[in-house]
Order: sequence, then structure tokens, then C-alpha cells
Amino acid sequence: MVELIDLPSHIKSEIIKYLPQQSVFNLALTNFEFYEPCIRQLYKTITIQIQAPLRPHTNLRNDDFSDCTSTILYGFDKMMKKETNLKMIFARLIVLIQSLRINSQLRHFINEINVVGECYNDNVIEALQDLINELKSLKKFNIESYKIRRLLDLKNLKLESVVVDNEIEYEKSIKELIIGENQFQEMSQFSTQLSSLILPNDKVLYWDWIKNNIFKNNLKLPSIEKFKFVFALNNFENNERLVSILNWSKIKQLELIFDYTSSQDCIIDVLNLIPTTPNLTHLSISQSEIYSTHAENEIYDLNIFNFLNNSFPKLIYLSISHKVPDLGNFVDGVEGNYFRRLNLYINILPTIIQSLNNKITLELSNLFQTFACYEQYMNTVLWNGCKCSHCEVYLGKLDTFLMYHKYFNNGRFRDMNVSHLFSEIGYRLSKREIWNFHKTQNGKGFKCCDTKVIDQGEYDEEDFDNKVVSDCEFNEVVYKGIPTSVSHYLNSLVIQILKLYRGNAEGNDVEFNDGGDEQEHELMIRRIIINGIVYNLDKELNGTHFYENVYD
Amino acid sequence: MMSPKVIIVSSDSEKFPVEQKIAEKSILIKNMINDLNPDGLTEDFEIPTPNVRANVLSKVLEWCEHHKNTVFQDDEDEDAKKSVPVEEWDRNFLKVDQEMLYEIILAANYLNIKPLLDSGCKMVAEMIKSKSPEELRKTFNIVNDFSPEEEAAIRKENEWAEDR
Repeated sequence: MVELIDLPSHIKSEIIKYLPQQSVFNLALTNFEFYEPCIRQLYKTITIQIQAPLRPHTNLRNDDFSDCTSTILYGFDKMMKKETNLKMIFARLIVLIQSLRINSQLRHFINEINVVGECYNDNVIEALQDLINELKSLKKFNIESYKIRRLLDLKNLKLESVVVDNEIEYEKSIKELIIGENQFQEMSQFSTQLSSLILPNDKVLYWDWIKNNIFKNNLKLPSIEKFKFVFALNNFENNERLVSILNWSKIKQLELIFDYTSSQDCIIDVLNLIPTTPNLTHLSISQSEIYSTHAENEIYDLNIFNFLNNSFPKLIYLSISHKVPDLGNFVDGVEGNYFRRLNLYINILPTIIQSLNNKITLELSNLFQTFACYEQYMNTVLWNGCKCSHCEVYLGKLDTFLMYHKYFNNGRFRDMNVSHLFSEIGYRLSKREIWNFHKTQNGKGFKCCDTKVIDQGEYDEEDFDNKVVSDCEFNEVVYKGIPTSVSHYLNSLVIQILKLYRGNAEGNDVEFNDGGDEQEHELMIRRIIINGIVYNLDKELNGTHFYENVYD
Repeated sequence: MMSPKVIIVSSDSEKFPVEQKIAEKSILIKNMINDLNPDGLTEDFEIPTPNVRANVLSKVLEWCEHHKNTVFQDDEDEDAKKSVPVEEWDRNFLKVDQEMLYEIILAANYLNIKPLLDSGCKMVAEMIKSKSPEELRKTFNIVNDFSPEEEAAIRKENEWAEDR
């Protein structure tokens, strides 16, 4: 009889790849046969971060394996104060370093270390430096924050992937280059082998760097597979020149960034510059500046979708995000046509995706904020939205919140509307933060009032003397119920994307099969991520499409 | 005229005639057909699979039949594989006893059918998930060959990665 332990070792390793870290740890303890492959997996990619990672429910009918990509070194599982977490991280780092010293084999298993966030204290920084000194042959050590990068010395490592702030000496091994605060970098010697070049999002920095280091020396980048293209919408020639430097048939991952332009034709023009990319697997499109009216955003979306109609035979990941104004204030706020925009996303985009070859993962990282800008419709969501017992309570609370809070705009605090609130919630959701209801992106915060705003006289009347409210009932605890309510609203969008009107008498039944022939319709979206809420899509055995909200 | 079939023979000499398209889900068989018939199949073609039992082979071929029109990415990277759950059909298909599951995995490995191998490995991983070492030993008949001291040492060595 064949047992798990009898499987060939490469299959065992394959299975272990799909295990979350705690299971790898547990399996390593069962038998020596499992110890080695488990340890290899556990040390392969290490990510250091303060917050505990979000783990999905264990009893989903269809779970994915994305929490198996990296071993995460963090503080405590439960919410704790930052200091407590830092102490724990420090302790964990010390254990890790000791283990590396005792069992020197372990250090060869480490491929990649990532440090996320920047709120580390001196103790942790020191421990990180010790860790670095232990790992002379490490190829990838990424540090997200410039502040932390400056404090650590990576000179001893033979990295293949480098974030450059100051100019670095030429190293044979470099294949990936990420530009941090760097301005000049001699790269003629390795430009041909470079497979990944990531520049800052900022347009000015981006193009300065390209001009100083690539155009000036007439470099070509023939091996690039991963690239970020920040379009210069005001200088067409630069775009043209940069396009000609890359070998587009090699590109696998591409990020396109647009700044604001009043003439949408520019976007069409630059998109037309891009040659066919037969090997592209990951595509991300985003805005670096705000398109300040709904009308412009709608046209922008149309142009982008048009581009997506080109052929991408290997695409498996698509991300589209927008830059939305603070608190969702658009100049033509009331005019925006929510239904037109909604239609773009629930009908047109899926139709385009249906024409692709592969099942893809679709990430719409701030779609909720985009929709939140449509004030009138959001009112419906809040006051006539989901009627389940959970939402009844929490949407009610949001309503109360609106009554007792004001937002800051044009020099003073004004009455809030639903868009303001939902935009802020959307922002927190995509960052996966727990929000205390008062701090806002623009730093001005929401102000508490002790009387209902409608009892304070005329709309936006000034000089109503508000007593300072010291303990507002809205805090992190109330917020915990909010994401679920938002996800109930998003559920309805996903249902529409799926054309799943099961058991809903009001919904129009739409035939998914357009030809009426027997061939089954294959849904080409495997997974949708909207503001950090993940949906997995698949078919039930009877052919009905279903969706599952991973973090409901 | 009927197009020629590929006849796959199991270790216990049972013959399974299948369409070429279905058989070619196995890269091993595909390469064999191409190498030995550079001008394409003109007559039925027999392929022995000396280490796959008939009931396992019929299961594997059922999978190939179901997926005959599915396009699989040939060079999907690891992260991409991890971001997708096991398809509902595969999940149901692989609801078999442990031994059968391992044999399907071994057959998929031998015949080089990557997507089936992946689904199988993911299913095993799900069985391993959220079990303590003791439960794992029990479920999978694993003999503990560590002394208590060794076990404690391993625990200590890796405790930095433990969820708590």
C-alpha cells in the first residue's frame, strides 16, 4: 500500500509548497523524511512584518494557496500594541539567527528575505543587520522603506536583485534593479542582462532617470521581462523612444501608469505605441494623478478597455486601479452616472475577459472607492442596501455616524455625505487596515459633534458651538463589522458579473449562452479581488457558477 | 474512416483505446507519439504503462477526457499556481481514498500530466493543513523517528516561524 511518506521526494516537496507555514512546521516534526523538505520550504522566502498576516477561514469549500508563498516572521497573532509586537519580532529574529548559526545548512535554503513596513525600533534593526551578516550568499534582500534601507548595510551580500539609492558598483550578478532614491547609475555593463527594472511612479523622477541613465548612453534593455512604464503624456517622442528600447516579445509583467491629461487622445496614442506582447502574463494599469470628473474617468475606462481588446494570449493577471480624490469629492459629483460606470465593469470588462485564452485573476483594488464617489447611488446602498441582520446593525451605525460627524473642506468642517464616508472606508479596506473612524487620508480627520448635525441649524452654518466630544462611540470595535457590510454590497456586484440571479425573483434572467448551442460557457475569470476582498469563482458540478467571498 | 486510436495498456494488461487528443494530455505519451510517428498516426498505436494499474489508469483517463478541451498554461510560475484553488470538478474527482489519490499522483507524475499532478498535490496539502504533528502521524501512518530531544531541538530551531 502506498503511503504519503513513500511518495518520491520531489512530489513531497511539491505538496509541501502548498502548505501554510504552521502546517510545514507541524509536518517537519513528524518524521525525518519530512523534516528536510519542510525546512527547505520554511526558509525559502522569509517576509518580516509587524502585523500578523490575514489567514483565510479553514472551512471554505474552495480555498487557494496564496498564504503559502512566504514564511512570515511577525509579532503576535492577536491584535497587540506595537511595542509588544516589536519585542516579539526581535525575539523571533534572535531565534532565527541562532538557528542559522547552529545549523549552518539552513542558510543555504534561504532565497529571499523581504522587510515590509518601516516602524521598527533599534533593537530590531540591529538584529536585522546580524541576520544580514550571517547570509553572505543571499540573492534577494528587499527592504520596502528607504528609511530602513539607509540603516542597513548590505554590502556583503552578492545580491541579484538590488534596490539602489546611491550609485552601486558593478556586480556581475545583478539581474533585477529597483530604483529607490538613486539618480545616476552606471549600468552599461549589465544593462543587457537586466531582467527587471522598476522605477519610481513619479513621472518627473521616472523620466529624469530614464534620460540620465538610458537615453544618454543609448542603452538597450533586451532582456527585460518585468517593467514599469510611466507614460509621459506631454512628450510623445520620449514614449516612442522608450518603447523602441525594450524587447516586447520578452516582456512578461508590465505595469502601465497614466498621469492626468485633458486630451484623452493622448492615452489612445500611447497605448497604440505598445507592440504586441505575446508573453505577457501580468498586466497592471493605474492612474498616478486624479482624473477630476466622472466624465473623464468614464472615457478613461473606455480607452483602457479598448486596449485590453488587443490580444494577450498568456495573460493570467489583470489589475486596474484609479486614483480617486480625497473623500470621493468630484466636481461633477452628482452628475456621474453610476449605472453607466457599473455597466462598464460588470458587463463590458467581463466580456473582454471572456475573449482571453486563460482563466485570469482580476484585481480591482479600489473599485469600491470609485463607486463610492457616486453620491446618490451610495445613499441607496446605505439606506436601502443589504437587509440582513448584520447589515441592519452596522449600516445603521454608519447612519448615526454621519449624523454626528463633520468633514473638513475649504477651510472649515462641513456636513458629511455617504460618499465621504464610503471613500474613506474603501481606502482602509484596500490597505487592509482597521480604522478608528476619525483619522482620514487628508489628515484633517472627521470631527465629532455632540448634537445631531441636522439640529445645528441651516446647512453648513458656521459658528455652531460644539463641545469637544472626548469619547466617541465610533472606534475600532465598531469598524470590525463594517467590512462585512461592504462585502455584502460587493457581493451583489459579483453576482451580476457572474450573471447569477439564482432565486432572486426581481433579477432578470439572462441566458449566459449566447448562441444557444450545447457548448458550455466557460467563465474566464478565476478570481476577483475588489478592495482587498477576494472572490474565487468556479463552477459547481451542475454547471452553475458560484462565487465565494474568501474573507467574509 | 475512423481516426487511429492510442491504446494505453495498464500494468495488469488491460487495454484502453482513447482518442489521440485525450491521450496527449500526457506529455510523455505525446512525445512518444511524435517521436515514433513523425508523420502523424496512421494506425492504432499501443503504449504500455508498466507501473499504472488498470483502475488508476481509467481514473486518469477520465480526467483527460473531461479536460480534453481545457487549455492549460504550460509554464505557469509557482505564485500563479498558488493563487488558484483546486477546480470544483477536480476536487470532486479526487475525492477518493488516500491510496488511490497517491496512485493517481504517481501516475500523473509518470505520464507527465502537470495540471493533474498539481491538483492532486493541492488535495493532499489540504488534508495536511490544520493538523497537529500527532494528528498528522495518525492520519498518514507516519512513524515518529525522532527522540524527544531531537523533536524539542527542531521545535526550537523553527519556533520563529510558529503562529501564536
